Amino acid sequence: MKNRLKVLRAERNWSQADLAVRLDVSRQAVNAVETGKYDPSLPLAFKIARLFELPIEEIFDDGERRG
Amino acid sequence: MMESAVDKDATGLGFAALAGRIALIVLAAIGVLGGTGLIVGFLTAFSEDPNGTLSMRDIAILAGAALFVLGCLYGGWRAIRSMRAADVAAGAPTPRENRNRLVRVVAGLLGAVIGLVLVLHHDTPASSPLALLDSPLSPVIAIVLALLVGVLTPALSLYWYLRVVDEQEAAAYDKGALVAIHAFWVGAPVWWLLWRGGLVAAPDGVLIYVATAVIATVIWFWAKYR
Repeated sequence: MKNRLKVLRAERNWSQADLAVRLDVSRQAVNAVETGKYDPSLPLAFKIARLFELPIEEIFDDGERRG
Repeated sequence: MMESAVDKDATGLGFAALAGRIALIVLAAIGVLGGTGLIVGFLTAFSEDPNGTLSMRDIAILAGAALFVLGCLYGGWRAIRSMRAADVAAGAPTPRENRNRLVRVVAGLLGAVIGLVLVLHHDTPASSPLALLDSPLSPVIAIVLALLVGVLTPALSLYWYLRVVDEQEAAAYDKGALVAIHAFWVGAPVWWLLWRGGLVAAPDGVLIYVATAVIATVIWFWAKYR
């Protein structure tokens, strides 16, 4: 699943390690989500959305979005 | 141009280099156990022979084994140091990663204790390392090891799985366990059936256990670090 995590993180000048601390996950987990190798669970997706103060669908794109 | 902390990949060495170093550490650990076993077995045999004297050849073998053990320790230490350096360069580990590391150190120490006990109570050091896993043990040693493996290991594993790892690592672990259990469910009966047909040697429980554990570990590692 595509996502804007790297862009959102860069806008705040956070490293992967900074984001990992804020989400209470490992640096590998942040890297795996960013690179699309791992899709986060719903609880983690909500946690990410709250952290960036955005709706989930503005961070993650499952390719099914309709206009 | 310097890479900023924001752009830096926080996974350290990368999958291939990390896999290489871990393989080196595993081989070094096997080498240390094998070399130590050879030395202990050699000295035990020597001490039990009332007329025994150490010839120059015996001393050369012992010195060679000692050098081999030292070489393995050095190689393993270099690999660990290189991993640590890459990890530090990739940014500070999170508190959850630190807890994970602590559990892995405890698990490593537990494994080292079990390995050393097996080596020190093993009579045939020159045979296959797999012989360490199925040669006879005294009842007391067997009970102590069974308690370590049967009580401490699952307690540590459950704590690690339920309290320490994040969901990405838990998913990687689940994937490894799933592949391994299916490899066991398929591999063991296939071997058993072929044995019944007189085509292969009798199923070896230790080999099946080791293969299952290796498959689970390799898949977990790939899923977590790829």
